Amino acid sequence: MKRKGIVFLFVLLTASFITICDFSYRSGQKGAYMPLERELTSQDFYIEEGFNQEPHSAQRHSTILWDTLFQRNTKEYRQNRSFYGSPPSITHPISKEMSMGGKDCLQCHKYGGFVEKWKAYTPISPHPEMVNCRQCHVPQKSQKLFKKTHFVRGSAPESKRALLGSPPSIPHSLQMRTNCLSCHAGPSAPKEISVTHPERMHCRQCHTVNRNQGSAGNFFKRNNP
Amino acid sequence: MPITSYLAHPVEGQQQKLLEELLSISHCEALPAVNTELLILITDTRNAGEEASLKIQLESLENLKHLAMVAGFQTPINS
Amino acid sequence: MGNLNASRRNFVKKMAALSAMTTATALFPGILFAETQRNNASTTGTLDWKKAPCRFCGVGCGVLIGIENGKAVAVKGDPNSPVNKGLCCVKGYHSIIALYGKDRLTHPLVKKNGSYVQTTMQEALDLIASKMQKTITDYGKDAVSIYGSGQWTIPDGYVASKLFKGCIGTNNVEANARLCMASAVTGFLTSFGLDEPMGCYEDIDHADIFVLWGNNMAEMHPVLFSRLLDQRLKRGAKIIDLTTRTTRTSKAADNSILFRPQTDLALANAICYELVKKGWVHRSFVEKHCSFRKGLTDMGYGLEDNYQFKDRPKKINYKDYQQFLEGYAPEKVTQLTGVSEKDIRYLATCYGDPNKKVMSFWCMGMNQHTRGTWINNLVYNIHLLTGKISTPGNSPFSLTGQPSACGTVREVGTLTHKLPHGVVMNKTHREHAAKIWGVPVENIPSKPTYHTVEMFRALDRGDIRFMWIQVTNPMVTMPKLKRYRDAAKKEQRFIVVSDVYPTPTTDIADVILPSAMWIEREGLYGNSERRTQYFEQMIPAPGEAMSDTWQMIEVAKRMGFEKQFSYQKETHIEEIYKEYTRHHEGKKHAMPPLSILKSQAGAQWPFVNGKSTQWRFNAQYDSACSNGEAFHFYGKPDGKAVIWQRPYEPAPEVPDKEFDFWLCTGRVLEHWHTGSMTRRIPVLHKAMPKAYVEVHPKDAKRLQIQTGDLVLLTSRRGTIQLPASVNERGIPEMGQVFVPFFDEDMLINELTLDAFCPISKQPDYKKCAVKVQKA
Repeated sequence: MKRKGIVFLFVLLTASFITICDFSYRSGQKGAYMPLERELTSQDFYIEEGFNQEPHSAQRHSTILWDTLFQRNTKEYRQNRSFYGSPPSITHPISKEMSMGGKDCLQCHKYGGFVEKWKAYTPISPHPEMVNCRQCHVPQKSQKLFKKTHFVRGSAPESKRALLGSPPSIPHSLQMRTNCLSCHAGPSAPKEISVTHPERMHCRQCHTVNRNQGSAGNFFKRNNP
Repeated sequence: MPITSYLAHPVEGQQQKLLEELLSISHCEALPAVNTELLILITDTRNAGEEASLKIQLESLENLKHLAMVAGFQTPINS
Repeated sequence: MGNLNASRRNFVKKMAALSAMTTATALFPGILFAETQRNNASTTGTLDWKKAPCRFCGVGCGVLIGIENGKAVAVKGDPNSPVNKGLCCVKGYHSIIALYGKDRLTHPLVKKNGSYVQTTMQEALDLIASKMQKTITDYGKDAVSIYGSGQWTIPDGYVASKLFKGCIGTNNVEANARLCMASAVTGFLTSFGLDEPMGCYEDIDHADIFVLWGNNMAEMHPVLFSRLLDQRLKRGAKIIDLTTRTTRTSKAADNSILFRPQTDLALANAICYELVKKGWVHRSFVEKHCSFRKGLTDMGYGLEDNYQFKDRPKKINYKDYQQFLEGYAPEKVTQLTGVSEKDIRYLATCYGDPNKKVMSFWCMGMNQHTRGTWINNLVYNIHLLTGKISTPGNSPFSLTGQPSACGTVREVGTLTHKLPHGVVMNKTHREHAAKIWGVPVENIPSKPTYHTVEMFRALDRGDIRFMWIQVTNPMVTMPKLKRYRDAAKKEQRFIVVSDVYPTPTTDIADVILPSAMWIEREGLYGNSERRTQYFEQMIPAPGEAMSDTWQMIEVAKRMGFEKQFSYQKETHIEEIYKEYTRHHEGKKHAMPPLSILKSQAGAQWPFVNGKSTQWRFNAQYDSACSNGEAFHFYGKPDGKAVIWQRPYEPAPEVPDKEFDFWLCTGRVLEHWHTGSMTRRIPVLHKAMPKAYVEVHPKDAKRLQIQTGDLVLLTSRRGTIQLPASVNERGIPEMGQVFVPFFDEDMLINELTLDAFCPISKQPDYKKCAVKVQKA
């Protein structure tokens, strides 16, 4: 009898546990109330320069995919960069050595997506309008060095907060990186720098640029309007 | 517990000597500049009296040309 | 609790130290603190960005260099530079890594009994000065020579010219720009009487059509190519690629037109034929601003020692010129060039349409050409006939490959016939230079001596006994390399090499001097669009390394020229630049003052009334125009630009039965010139670890070659073995192969021919005959 009681108690506990979990999960799924979401066009709220560019998977903020299973961390992110802020090298083999841009690299790197072969999400370019990709991004065909080097990276850029709980500042230059969400949201973004609130869009309202990184300036624009 | 930082200007060519002297004084920490004749001095004393006597000791240093205070903090004593 | 309190006190101490440091930084900009302690205090906010022109090609991108703890740690494009507007290429971004190769030369090395012995800088400089003096006593002034570079800063080139031409009294001053820009110079001089482009990079923002003449811009001038692509995206500008080999540029262009090697001469004349025939010639422009001339033909190719050539221009009229063009009707030329009649006519419409602004670009394809001066003239002809010149968007633009090919070699004039202002043959020019230099005018000889190829031949013959090589690597870049390497190794030759890394050139040196590189010293570069840019010293040079300028000043002082070289160590760059700008005074070439160059990303000469001149010869922009017309080509005595009658002539060595392939050489995106810097940048070396030979897929199939297979290339001058590349980065036409020259382990210049343009003396690295076999 005593044993039956214990079994019954556990069944009851398990059942209530499942019910509570289920309820909280479902209510968590509903999300916050945002009635205007559907009526917004992509143009209206993208005050930052980088947001005005071509449709971008990251722009539909409400539908940003959260898949943490294959997410990178910053260590992996920095592996194919010579220093903080250098253009990353290409980590995968390339079939076409001659073409680039829209017909080639941007097929994947404009919108991102999961690549079964590498078990990874494609990083999204923050500057898809620059189509001479291989000007800055080169593959790594050999692991050997010609001669050893003394070069050392500088110290890692650190995001500062004015006060505890203040929004962190932007530790890097915005040159070619005005589209914040291409690197800070979505499944290809490194874990540590993923933003918790991509739907808020107007990033620089709260996040300011570290002074010594400079502004984007009049970067790559025509000078005869 | 006052903690104070200073910019210490050594007498010309005496940066290394001054650094050694400062490091030998208790409650003092010093940090030399590499390409300019200048040291940063941080004093960490237990009370105002001790700080005042340290100040006198510092002023007697021959290799120290000029001392400029930059910041001072008063931390609570509750250890 | 105690622990917490201790950590809190630590924190406060760090804060105190940090605020002191901040104050110190404000008081003494650039102050640095001992690394370990600084790291304990704080790590952020200490990165200091300083501006410089990029170290590599002639585009002259503005870069910002991040300096931390006295080391260069990061690079970004300078958004305030009108050249690149914040963008760099992969070489520029990683350029600072080239400062830190483990095998940097840090102390002088002197060859004793076949091996190098380390010595002090003072001893090495004493030795150089005494050797130079002894050579002059034993063999005469013309037995000593200096071979410099378009990577020389302006002060480097200036002191070289002053020391050799002004003080020692020999015209044995040459630079590697002879191998790279000489045809562009003679092209400018023959057509306009003044060197360097009339337009500027801003033309890109106005032009509707870009025509690239044998210029793989996507790889060689990627930042400018990005500006072209940007204009296509924003304004629908068209890019036309004229080439002998399919490249990334061809793929990116709207239209890629292939022609056979050397036939660009015929193609350009055919375009002019069409322009005349269709009535697209800008009659009033041509009547007012152009004259017609023809020169000697059948000039030879300079293959024999002591070859001499002097052109004898003859005035002709428009009728004669028209008659000459009759031979270049599209239907006649199509067979020779391999370009269809339709494409020739299409090109003519592009240039001829009065509503379209056209910009032509070229670099080594046209300059490294046994008729290099001619093809430069012919492209100017097209622009002159249509009047599409010297106005925003209408611009024949000769690109350069080195950061200061224009600034140093062409403007300072470190070529045998040149002076900082003018030429040695001209008495007034010699007097002008002698006055500023403070030397008797008789010191400067009135006859030019050896151009680069001939200078190395003279070294072989023994006419030259002493050679000082700075910032260049001729033992990789000279054509028909073996002859000149053997020459340098001969007995009774003394070679000094100033460089930053061991190279095949330091291997032949008797003394190796360690040089301070780029931002380890102060200097100035001048880029393709007449823009002079300044950079300060940002980091210390390693070991005893010394700037090339100061090396020469030290030697000059030891040779008894203290008076002429009395510069102060702290301010010598400023003093030299000030002295140099005196040579160029006047509206035609006034140089910007140093204070301007320090405050902004360079300025363009002629710098008149505090303003750069963007379009020369156009009265609206150029204050040197004085004829009251809209245009004034004031480089010529009659104020008129010259349209030259230049025929097609074949290349000196064409494929035959035995050597049945054309060999073309060139660069790749990742490596710059001989790779002595870029190969020491891990990301670049890993991207492009070794040279290769590109073969057309059909040829590869016939020869049973696949990518990676070893191939034996043989010319009449040598043999090398390289891996094949089929259908990769570039595809040469059938019967042609392409090899990049950056790899010192596979020296393609063992095979190339030392034929050169008789007018410019620039060798042709793009055409010779080879045999291809599977190894």
